[in-house]
Amino acid sequence: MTAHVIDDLPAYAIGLMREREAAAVRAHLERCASCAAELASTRALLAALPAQLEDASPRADVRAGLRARVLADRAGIHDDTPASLLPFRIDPSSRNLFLRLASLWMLCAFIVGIVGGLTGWALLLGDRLQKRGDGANGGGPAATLRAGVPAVAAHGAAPVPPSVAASAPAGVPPGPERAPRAVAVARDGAPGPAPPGSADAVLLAA
Amino acid sequence: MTAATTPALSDEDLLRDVAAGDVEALEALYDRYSRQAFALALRMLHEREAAEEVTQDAFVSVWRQAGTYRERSGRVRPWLFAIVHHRAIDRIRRARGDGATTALDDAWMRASDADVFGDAYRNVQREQVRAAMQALPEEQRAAVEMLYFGGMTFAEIAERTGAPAGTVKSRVRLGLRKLRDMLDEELAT
Repeated sequence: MTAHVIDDLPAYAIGLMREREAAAVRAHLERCASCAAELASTRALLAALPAQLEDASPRADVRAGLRARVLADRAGIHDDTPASLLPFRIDPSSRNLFLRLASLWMLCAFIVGIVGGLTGWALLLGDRLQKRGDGANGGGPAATLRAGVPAVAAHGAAPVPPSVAASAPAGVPPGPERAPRAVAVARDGAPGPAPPGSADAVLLAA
Repeated sequence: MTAATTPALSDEDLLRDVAAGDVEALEALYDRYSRQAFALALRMLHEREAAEEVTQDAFVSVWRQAGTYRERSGRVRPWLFAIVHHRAIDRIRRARGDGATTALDDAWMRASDADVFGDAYRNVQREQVRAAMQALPEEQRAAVEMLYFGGMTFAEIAERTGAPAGTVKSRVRLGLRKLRDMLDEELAT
């Protein structure tokens, strides 16, 4: 048997020992009843030391924070942040609701961001298609875009407003609400074909 | 549970209710021991807010581990204080940039092992402990206090006091032995 570890027991008893040292003490304790009994006695004695201290009262919100944390814990939300660190007070019964609302708001913000980004991209792409359509003079992608107009109109879409219909060039039938955009393509100048390999070129080729 | 019935319940009864998810039972335990727990944390950390956080953390640990508690009369209080003490030491060590503490989840910290705490001193009075500590030789008392309340390792105490680490270990051991003898004598009378 290794040497007794009695001198190390006070530090071991309060966890004030590096893991490797603690492991050695633990291994000895498993084989030495004398040191194990001494450890139990040491722990009991150390646990009596706080009795000499005068009681002191924590602030009342520590108790409220404890309640908030255990209620959240019971609801399945593990929060190891002391509640007193929060910059504002939350009623314990509403803290779970608060966390859920915060998550919902973050989800909404994410969705709005995605939708906004896609919308902006679509508008930009539409403008480029319009400009190229003018340059193609009735053929190519702009014509493809225009070709869809009567088909949409034929399926009972909203009628073209008179002002738009009046400004449309010959050969362009009236269409739905989106028709004015296609009509305008035919009047504007176009810069030419999309650069090879660009997103526009890939999309248009498809 | 109502507030009117709480005072009649033992620590073990309350802990059983805590294990069943009774928040009011935990609050009753808190009302019973938070001032002593906070006093211990404050003595160790010397900072009110940090001591409050440690106190609250300790009771959250009680909440989470109550279900593993094996009933042994008189063990709840020392177990709770051990949690407070260990959390405070952990905080002290981290503040010093030293991880020289075993993990909080070490076996002896779990409620199921709470029976490692003897209840020989469950009825000890404040003045008895205070008098016994004051009766220790200064070097022994200082070594015990630096270890227990200061969270200092033997090597750190040795460095602070200029004594060899072996001497520090002996001072702590002898101090605790004398303390035990005095308290046993007090409790026997």
